[in-house]
This record gives sequence, structure tokens and C-alpha cells, in this order.
Amino acid sequence: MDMSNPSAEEITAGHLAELRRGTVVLACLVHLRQPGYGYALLETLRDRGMTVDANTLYPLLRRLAKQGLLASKWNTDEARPRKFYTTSAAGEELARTLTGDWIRLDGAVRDLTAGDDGPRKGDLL
Amino acid sequence: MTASTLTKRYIAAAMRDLPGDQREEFRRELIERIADDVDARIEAGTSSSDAEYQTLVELGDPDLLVASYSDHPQFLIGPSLFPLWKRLLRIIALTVIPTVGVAFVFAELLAHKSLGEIAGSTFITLITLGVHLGFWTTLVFAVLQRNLRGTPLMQWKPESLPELMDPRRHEMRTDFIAHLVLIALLVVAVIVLPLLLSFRDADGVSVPLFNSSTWVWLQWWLLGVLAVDLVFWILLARSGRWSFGFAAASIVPNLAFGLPLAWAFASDQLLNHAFLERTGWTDWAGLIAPGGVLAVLGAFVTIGIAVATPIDGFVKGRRTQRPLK
Repeated sequence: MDMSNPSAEEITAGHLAELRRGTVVLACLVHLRQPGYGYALLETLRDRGMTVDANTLYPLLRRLAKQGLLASKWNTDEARPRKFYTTSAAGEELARTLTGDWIRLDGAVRDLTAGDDGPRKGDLL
Repeated sequence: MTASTLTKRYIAAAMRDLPGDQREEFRRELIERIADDVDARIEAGTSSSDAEYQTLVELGDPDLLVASYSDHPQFLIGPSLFPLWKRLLRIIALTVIPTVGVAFVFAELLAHKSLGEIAGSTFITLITLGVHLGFWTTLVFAVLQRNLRGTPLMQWKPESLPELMDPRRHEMRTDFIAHLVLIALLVVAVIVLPLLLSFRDADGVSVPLFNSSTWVWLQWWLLGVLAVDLVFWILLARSGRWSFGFAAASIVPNLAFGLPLAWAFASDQLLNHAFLERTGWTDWAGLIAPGGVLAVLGAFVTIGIAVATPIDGFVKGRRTQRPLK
């Protein structure tokens, strides 16, 4: 494969991945207000159309815990011990900030695309 | 599910390089992750051995998995240090290696080694030197990379931008500096080379590289020409640009330097036969005799070098006739 000359699909996939990267963090912080473990979170996100690679999600959970944004605790009640993560106070604060920014960006993109059917007059100058 | 041999092997391989205090936690996390994934695959209808195999394939190389969990950069030299590393390596390659190469050849000549031996040992020494320079420089940068964690080594400021300069002036400055260095090297070569490349024979009499009766006047002539060349370049740099006059004038010092050398070499009056015999270059005697292949070649090379600067001057002089875009 010629790495220096990516196909159109590869370029699109690259940009999509970049656009989605930060949203996984936001989804984790919001969803883990209720305690949850890795595989369950992976399935929840997948069911909602936010497919995340396991090789991305597990290291991400670990990193967020290390940054104090998630609290972690081993649950040994069941036969298989699982590490349960819960959004911490700091994580909650970050979730609010990120959500606010998400809404602001959503509005901005809507404004930019609203009634936009093709190049405007100003763009031609 | 009890972990099968394959899973146990995977976990052992993944934990191999982890610090002791992180092992147990990582082991439990990995067991959970693998078991959950295997169960999901079995639920979807895969046989248990296939499910385990597929899970491990998806996890991938255990070393890479551990690296993805850790915060350490997975590159040796990152973007903040890469330009400096590249510039430094290039400077080293262009300065240290040729300098050592020339010095090494001199030393070997002094030790009266044969040409074949000199070529071989110089080649090996320069390769070794290059590998060492490359390796140690890179190692220092890799250590810096890990300690600086992406902070640039030098703060870039707008003031550090190069001045805008007329490209011709810039070119002239580069040419001027290059020729100053060249003139200095030639002066050193004329003075030092015969001292370095001579030895004492059994009676304690010095046997020089160059034919004494030629060199006694040729060295003063060459030094004189170099002094004239220096004056020429200072005048040229002050004027700031090549003109046809300067290009024509530059023929004088260049030919004055090259022609006597070429003539002396081609007519076999430059090199000392006693020296050649002592160094085992006698096979070469025929080649450098008048009309010999090397003699003619040497003469041509000398003249070629001598006319290179005037031709360069004419080309640049013609360009200055055209207005700047």
C-alpha cells in the first residue's frame, strides 16, 4: 500500500476518527455517572452508534482514572472480578465543560450550514 | 472460565516488562478484558477455543498492548526535537567525517602504509565513526525526548527569523565565506603539507613529498597567488555582485594557481621520486611520468578546478544583468 497517497476513503476515515476522538471521553464521563465496567461500556456505546475500538477504550479508561476523572473499584461480588469505573467530581466538572462546548460547536456548525445551498456571494470575492 | 494456556501465555508476555507494583492490577484488568470478550464471542456462536484465539488476535502484540496503556511516547525522537536532531546530524556528517577522513589519510601516509591499505582502513574507520556519531547523537536526543516530554529545547521567537536579503547578496555572502575558508585551507596546505608528508631516511636526511627544486619557488608563487585571490574576493564582496569584469579578472588568480601546478605535475617535476619509492608508490611512477594517464588526468583536474570559479562568475554575472523579479 502506498502510504504517501491515501485513497479518498482513507482520508475520510482519518478525518472522521479525528472528529470523534474527543467525543469518546465525553461519552465515558457522562455514561459512567452510574458505575460501569469496560465491556459493558463498549457495548453501550456500540448500541448507540458510537463504535469504539476496545484497544482505544480500555487504555482510555485507565488514563482517565489516572487523571482522577474516573474513580475505580474492583467488584468481587460476582464470579468474575471486574473493575468498575465511576465519574469523579473532577470528571463531572470536565463533563459539564465538554458538554457545554459540544452544544456550542453544534450550534456553530448549524449556523454555518443553515440555508447554505452552495457558495455564497462573499465566497466568490 | 479458567484461563487456558494461550491466555496465560499472553498475560505473562504482556506483564514481562511492567514494573512490579503495576503487575497485579494490570493482570486482573487483562483477565477481565479477555474473559468478557471471549464470553461475548461464545454467546455469538463461536466455539470456545476459536473465541479465545480471535480475542488474542484482536488484542495484538502484547508489547504493543502494554505500550498503548502506558504514557510513554512510542517514538524515539518526537516532532519537537526532530528538526534539531536532523540539522545536527547533517552538520556532523558534513564536517567531522571529512575532517577525520583527511586527518586519518595523512596519518596513514606518515606511517608509510600502501595505498590499498590506506583506502581499506580509511573506509572502515569512517564507517565506524559514522555509526558511532549517529548512534550517540540519537541516544542523547532520545534521552532528552523522554525527559523534556515534548517541550522544545530552544524557545523559538520571531526575532530568530532570518533577515530578508536580496538572494544575490545572500549567494555572494555564502560564496565569499566559502572562498575565505578555501583560501585559508590552501594556505595551510601549502605550508603544512610538505612538513607533514616528509620523512627522514636512514642518514637522517629529510625526504619531502615534493620535488625540492620545484617546490622552493612554487610554494612562494602559490602563497602569492592566494594573497592576490584574497584581495580579489574582498573587492568582489564589497561590490556585492558578479560582473563580467570580475569574472574575467578571476581567471588570473585561478590560472596562476592551477597552471604551474598542472604543468609541474604533468611534466613530473612536482613529486619527489625518492618519496614515491619510500612509500611504495613506485607502481605509480609510470602513470605520473610525463604523458602518463595520471599525469594528464591530474593536469586536467587542476585546470578544471581553476576555471570553475571564472565560469561560475560569468554565469552569475549574466544573471545580474537581468532585473530582479
